[in-house]
Amino acid sequence: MRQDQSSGPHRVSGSRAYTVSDLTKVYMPSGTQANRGISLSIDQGEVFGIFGPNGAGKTTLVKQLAGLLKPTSGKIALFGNDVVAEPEIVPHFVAYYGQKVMALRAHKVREVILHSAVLRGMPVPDARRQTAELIERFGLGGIADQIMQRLSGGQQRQTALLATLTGNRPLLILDEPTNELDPANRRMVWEYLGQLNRDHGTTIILVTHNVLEAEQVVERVAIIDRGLAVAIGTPGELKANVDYTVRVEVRLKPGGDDAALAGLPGSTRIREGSFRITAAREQAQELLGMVLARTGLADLDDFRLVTPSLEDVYLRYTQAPSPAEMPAREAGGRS
Amino acid sequence: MKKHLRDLVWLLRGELYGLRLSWFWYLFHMALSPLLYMFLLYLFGGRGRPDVTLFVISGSLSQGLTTASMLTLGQNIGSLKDQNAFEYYAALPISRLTFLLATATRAVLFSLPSFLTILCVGSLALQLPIRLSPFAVPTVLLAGYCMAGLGAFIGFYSPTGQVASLATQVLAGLMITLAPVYLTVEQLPAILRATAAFIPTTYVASALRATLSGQVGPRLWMDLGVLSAVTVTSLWLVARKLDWRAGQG
Repeated sequence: MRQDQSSGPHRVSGSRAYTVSDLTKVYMPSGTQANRGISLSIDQGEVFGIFGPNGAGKTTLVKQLAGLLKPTSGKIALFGNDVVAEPEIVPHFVAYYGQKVMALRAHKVREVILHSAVLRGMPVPDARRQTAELIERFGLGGIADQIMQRLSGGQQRQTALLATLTGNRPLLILDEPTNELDPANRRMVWEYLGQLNRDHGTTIILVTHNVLEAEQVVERVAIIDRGLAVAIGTPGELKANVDYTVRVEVRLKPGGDDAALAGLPGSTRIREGSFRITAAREQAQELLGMVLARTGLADLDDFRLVTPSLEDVYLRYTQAPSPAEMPAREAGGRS
Repeated sequence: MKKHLRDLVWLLRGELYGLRLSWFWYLFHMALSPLLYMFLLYLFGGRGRPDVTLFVISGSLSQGLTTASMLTLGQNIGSLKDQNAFEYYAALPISRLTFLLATATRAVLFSLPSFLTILCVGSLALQLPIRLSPFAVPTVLLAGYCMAGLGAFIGFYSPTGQVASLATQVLAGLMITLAPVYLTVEQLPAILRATAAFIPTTYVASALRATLSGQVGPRLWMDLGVLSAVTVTSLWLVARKLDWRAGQG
């Protein structure tokens, strides 16, 4: 595990990065319960996704993990250290990226990254080297010497994200890291995070709405809804719990025969020439044969067989009527 | 200790980048207010009276030095909290004291040009002979840092940045008007004569008068001693007792 290069008597015990027990956060004076009895654990080297709708309590949860918010009750252990009693130990292990960009408006892009690296305890030459590498890797050379205030929101967020990646922390907490980034930059971020995890064993906790993109990198997921952890498990385990259906998405060429597909069981016409047909997983092969037999390959413009995605899982769990009294559904052996 | 010093240097560098955006207005604001006070009070009673002119100049210097760090810390911390940007610093392995010292040092450095301006304008335009003592250096530093802890306290505990800004400005005004800064202690109402001993600006103004007029003696040692104690105690208390974490509910 990569260690903090600054001083500090910090212990690392066990294979767990985080162990969270019965964590509750109530905001006063409103009495809003943002987190309710959440228990989960995150292993070292794991990429852990936290998904949920707006206002579900995801950011409240990770801010408590990062030692930035004091829990109302419950326990948080980081590599065996008590985060609630000693929040100051967290920055020695964890780099945190919040939803709001820090107000370093007068800094240049290069300075934001360099200062963050130095303040995380890196020797200055190493910090300069890492700053240059990150700027090069993410193609920020053109704006490296521009003042933050003069950059777009996306460029400011990207700079803040790169600042978070400095200092070689063994654990990253990233709250919506790809918000406001364009597709090319989003891809670079996911690739880089994957590389950090593979090559350095960096534990990554991701909060994101971009479930489809995150599905490529996360190993386990917690779905938070209305303050509760309503599901925890690997994407495969959660998908298996949701349903066993598959979906065939068909788009016909102009002039294709809509009636041929409209009559199929489980068929929904999305718009003219576009259909979504669902069926039990064991009927997938039969369904494909029927579609091809009715339309013919020549009339098909596009054709996809889709198994449940993590997004389907997310929607399934977060659109449940009320999780108020529902315990966390543990899809795997761990919680 | 080495890490704290290194962090202080890098945090201070970051603080000074703020000059890129607002150096003119900051210096203008910090110099203008004490200069206006100085000329106003001079016109009201200082003309031809060197003893009063000394109070006018030292009062203006005290006002500029003592309020700068309190206003900066209160408003800076309040505004960082408003923007949720405080968590950037809270998520770094730096000590609260180092962060506070960096912000206060920025304020002290920014207040030096106005200090020199008032000193030069005051002594030349108001024709007061200045016999600056070497003890002016520790006096200026202590004057700059002594209210920083109070400013940080207000910034941390104000519900919004706007409240922090208003509270520090009100308090700065009270610290100047309720203490013998522009006036002698005998000119104050009886109740304020009793309370003046508990206001740091009393000692700042007294020490500045002594160092400007070259009257170094036991009173100056006492002033510097009190200011040292106030500075160390307030910064230590703020650094030790305040919780970086939000949401104590």
